Amino acid sequence: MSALELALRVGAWSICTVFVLAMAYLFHRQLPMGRPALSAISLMVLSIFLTTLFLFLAGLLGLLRPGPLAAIGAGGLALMAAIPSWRASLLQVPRDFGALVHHLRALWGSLPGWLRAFSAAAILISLLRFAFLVWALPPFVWDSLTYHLTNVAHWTQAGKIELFDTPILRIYTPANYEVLAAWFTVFLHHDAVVEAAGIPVYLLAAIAVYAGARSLGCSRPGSWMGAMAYASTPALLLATTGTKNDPHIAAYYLTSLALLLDLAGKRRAADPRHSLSSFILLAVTLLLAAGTKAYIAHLLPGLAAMALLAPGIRRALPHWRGRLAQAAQGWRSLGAWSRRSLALLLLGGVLLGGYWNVRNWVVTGNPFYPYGVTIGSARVISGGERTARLNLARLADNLESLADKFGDAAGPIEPDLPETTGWGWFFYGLGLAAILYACLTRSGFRPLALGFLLSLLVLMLSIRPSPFNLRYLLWFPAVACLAYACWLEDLPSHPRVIPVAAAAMFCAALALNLATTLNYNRVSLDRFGLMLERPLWERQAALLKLNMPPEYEHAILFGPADELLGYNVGDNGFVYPLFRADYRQRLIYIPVSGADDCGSIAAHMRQHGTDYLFVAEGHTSGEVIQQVRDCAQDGGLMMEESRGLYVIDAGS
Amino acid sequence: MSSMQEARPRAGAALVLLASLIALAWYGQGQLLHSLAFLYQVAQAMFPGLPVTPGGP
Repeated sequence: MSALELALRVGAWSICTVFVLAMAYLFHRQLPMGRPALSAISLMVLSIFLTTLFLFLAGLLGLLRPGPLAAIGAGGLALMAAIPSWRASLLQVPRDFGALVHHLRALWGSLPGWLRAFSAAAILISLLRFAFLVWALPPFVWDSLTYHLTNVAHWTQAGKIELFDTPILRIYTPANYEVLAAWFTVFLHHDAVVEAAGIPVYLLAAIAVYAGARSLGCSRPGSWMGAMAYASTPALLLATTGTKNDPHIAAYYLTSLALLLDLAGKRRAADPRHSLSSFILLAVTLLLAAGTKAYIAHLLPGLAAMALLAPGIRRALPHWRGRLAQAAQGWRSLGAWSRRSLALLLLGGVLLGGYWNVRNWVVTGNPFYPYGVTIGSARVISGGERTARLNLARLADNLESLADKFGDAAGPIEPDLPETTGWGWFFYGLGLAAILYACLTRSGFRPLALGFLLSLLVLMLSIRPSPFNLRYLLWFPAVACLAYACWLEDLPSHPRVIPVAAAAMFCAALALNLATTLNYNRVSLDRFGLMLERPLWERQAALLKLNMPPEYEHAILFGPADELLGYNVGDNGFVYPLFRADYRQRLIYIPVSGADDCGSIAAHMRQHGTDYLFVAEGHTSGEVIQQVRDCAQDGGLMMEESRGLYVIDAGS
Repeated sequence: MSSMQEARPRAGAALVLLASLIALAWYGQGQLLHSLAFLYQVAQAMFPGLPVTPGGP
């Protein structure tokens, strides 16, 4: 990529970023929250939501290219400047930015000196860590290489959001995360920074913990420490740059929790607009989550229980009736223009929340394709090659698996969490005792703890028992961080040894959490070296020899980069690395089996317009590999170009 | 605040601190070597004389 081309691409990205942020700001002004932490949540959620919606609509229209996107962004900005009320709103940005700086300075000033020094160091190290991991390594997490990023790669290459022919049926699952990830690939037409797609929600999750702690009545320093503790959770840190959607669900869950805690609280001044804003933001967040991963539905009972219990079980109904009445009053107080714009925002939420399932319903007859749904022993929704089950046997299996992993002693914490919970030093070292303390001493904390527990149990009823399913619980350690923030409120300042010991243990736990996650506990120094030797634009997922069979490396080094490449892998095989980092490689799935003879395989390849067929050990069925190998050895129709890469013999 | 009222949170906080110390030791006994394996690997790269641990990354 030439410097000019790079500058143009970055320019297009910048225009679109300014456009989306301006839109988010305009909606943000329509949703006054009344508290700085909730205002920050509002701006973050709206920015993530509108970025996703913008790219989603452009993708459906086939405009997923830097040029058309920049044109829309520039046109949108010109429109905003032309409409007087929007222009007037946007002119308030410097004033609001000044207010934000003021709030941040007040927060920073409220922290004790040691915490400021530790926070500054932790933020700096985290920034460097994120930047280094995003810059140094290509994507390598299994699910990303099978379906998350396969969607992203195809959409980026095709310039539109669409289904395509592949054996990886999980490309059908709700894909709001993938749309957001495409924001990091479409403009550069490269995956160099795609791992950064988790960082916005990482920040959102930390802010949500801070806001939740404030709603529980915790001080600024205590809430800050709770948020820092959650941000240091190893499982979350590893997943954030792991190109997966679980950090997004964790952030949306914790955001919903913070909004509900605020609505459930008695401290909230009776401003109808604030209640309306919280309800609208809650709806937008949950709809965004619904289109990201289905298991948010399993977390809802816990949120509902917390919302019902927090105001007190007897006062719950009148409390929530009152809040809804306030919200309705807030809605009536709005002008027609504001109502229309907020209705449009909710409509966008419905679109992002429902599109994927409605599409699947229309295309396959099953909204949850490729999953059929079984509750107990009854098949509730048929169709689909996989089954989502809800039954007590799963609960027992999953709880047993959780018990085995509890304490993280069985191995290092890795992104897929095969042997550990990944909750880390803070959760186990300081958090468990804090949960117990907060449950015993704070009546306001108990509904929250029950909500977390119920969410966990309902999730455990339904998730497939597997060594890798603890990633669905990334949100759970937040309960310990909130409890810790509550405990800090009761921490006496004398004798000095108590706060000094608490501060030392806090710093030690967070430092060890960070030390645990520096290299994903998977990537050895020589692998880092291997990648760093290559220019940024040539750091291919296929070349990072972690979980990658050598066939993928051969396909990149010796494959036909500018021709159509046929591939055959199973429904859990890697497709993404074949696209190459710059998404140059066009791919076509060749649906052959071990029963096909050489002539039939060659005919399939020709029928799909390619002379090449890629297969790989562990990803393609053994029968197919054996068959194409035999075909090449027979010396007839095909020959082996390099390991795993077969080509139809030109002379045949 | 009476001395009785002051003593309660102090005792509670002290108990939580004690429990946290025990929990840190319990967690550390299982996780410390795993956690520090990468740092040790970096140290090995910098100081080749350090002994190689079996089962490292």
